[in-house]
Amino acid sequence: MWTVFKQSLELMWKGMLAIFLVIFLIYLVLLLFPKVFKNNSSQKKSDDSTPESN
Amino acid sequence: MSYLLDGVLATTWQQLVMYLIGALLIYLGISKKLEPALLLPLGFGAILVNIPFSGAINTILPGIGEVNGIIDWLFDVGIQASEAMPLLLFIGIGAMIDFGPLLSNPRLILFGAAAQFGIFATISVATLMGFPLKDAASIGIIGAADGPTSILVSQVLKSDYMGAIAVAAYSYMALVPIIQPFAIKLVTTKKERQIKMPYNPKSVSRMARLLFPIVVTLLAGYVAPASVSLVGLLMFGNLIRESLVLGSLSETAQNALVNLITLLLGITIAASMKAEKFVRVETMMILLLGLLAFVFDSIAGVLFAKLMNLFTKNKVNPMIGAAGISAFPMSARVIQRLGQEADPQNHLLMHAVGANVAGQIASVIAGGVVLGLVPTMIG
Repeated sequence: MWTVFKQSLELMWKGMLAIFLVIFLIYLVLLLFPKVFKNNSSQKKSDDSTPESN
Repeated sequence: MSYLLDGVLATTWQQLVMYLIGALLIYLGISKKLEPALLLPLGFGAILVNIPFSGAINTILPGIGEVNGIIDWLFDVGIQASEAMPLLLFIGIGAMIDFGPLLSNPRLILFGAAAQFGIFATISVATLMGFPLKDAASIGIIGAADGPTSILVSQVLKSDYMGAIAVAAYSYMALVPIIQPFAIKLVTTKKERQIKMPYNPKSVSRMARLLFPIVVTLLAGYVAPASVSLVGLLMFGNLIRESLVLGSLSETAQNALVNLITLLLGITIAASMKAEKFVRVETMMILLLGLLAFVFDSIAGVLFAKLMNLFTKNKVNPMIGAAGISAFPMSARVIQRLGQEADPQNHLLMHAVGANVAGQIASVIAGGVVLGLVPTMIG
């Protein structure tokens, strides 16, 4: 059991690292978007009426 | 005439328990409106597959051999052989999502990552309870708060507990309005819940909306290739939506495709709810662990937001962190309600929606990451 638990801890740090890395890269891209693309067209108003999705 | 009683005589107490569980799921779906699109078919399916000698599942007929039943066939083709059902559902989900609130306030995406911690914390707890890693990982994914991802991961990892995992995932998603306030109040003060966040949405260019799904797919694909099927189909659906030139396809994905798959998904998952596989102690443990996963997710999101507040000038209401799960839009609505409970002038909805859609992206990435890592660790 302890071996499996240790594996789960390894999975935890490796998994969270990978998720944060991908999300952080997306975050950087999102920060770049407004600088690269001017807000020139078709802004869609965001609302909370998007249908439930799960 | 004894053949008329064969079914009655062959009924086991475990099957009777499954009828009760099926009836309970149908009741919760209809009367309590808890995820009725999934719980009702699951409940009815649980009854169908547990009738002795049921023709809905594969059976062996004397003198003839094995005969296919429709539910087992749907399971084999739609889930076991290709994982097609949960994956195709992501096209529709992607077509439904408006990433606008996220694109106009990028830092919200970080909450999506933080709130996935519950998955891994739950996996560790599950291993301590004696589950092998592949089952523990499948159980932990309930914390993705995303039904199709839970089904997909448990199928790919060949977990024995897919039925219980699906029931837990969808039930707790429906119970987010009860679970999250409890978890959030454990780790926040009223003063923290009163923190106001001004909403000044920046306009989002069309090019940004178009490039976003492609960029996300590429980034996720290179760091976590196993997530490509999940992230890719989600973003494919979103690209169809944002292209603005495929209106009817977007409409079809959001409605006909999602409805058709949802219609079949619940009753198909019921194939894994046969009494001998479902009525066991582990099912109760999975239901408990699923609840823990949602609580851990919410707490991790809140604590991450508090951590962020230590380093930023514009304070975030820590409850926004809890919206970084995939249960959309329930979680965002819960945060809005809690914010207004603390201060009637506190409007957090749009921030919470941004974190909530971030959770949808992060949860599929988490699913892919788990699928990529677990086989290498147990192999």
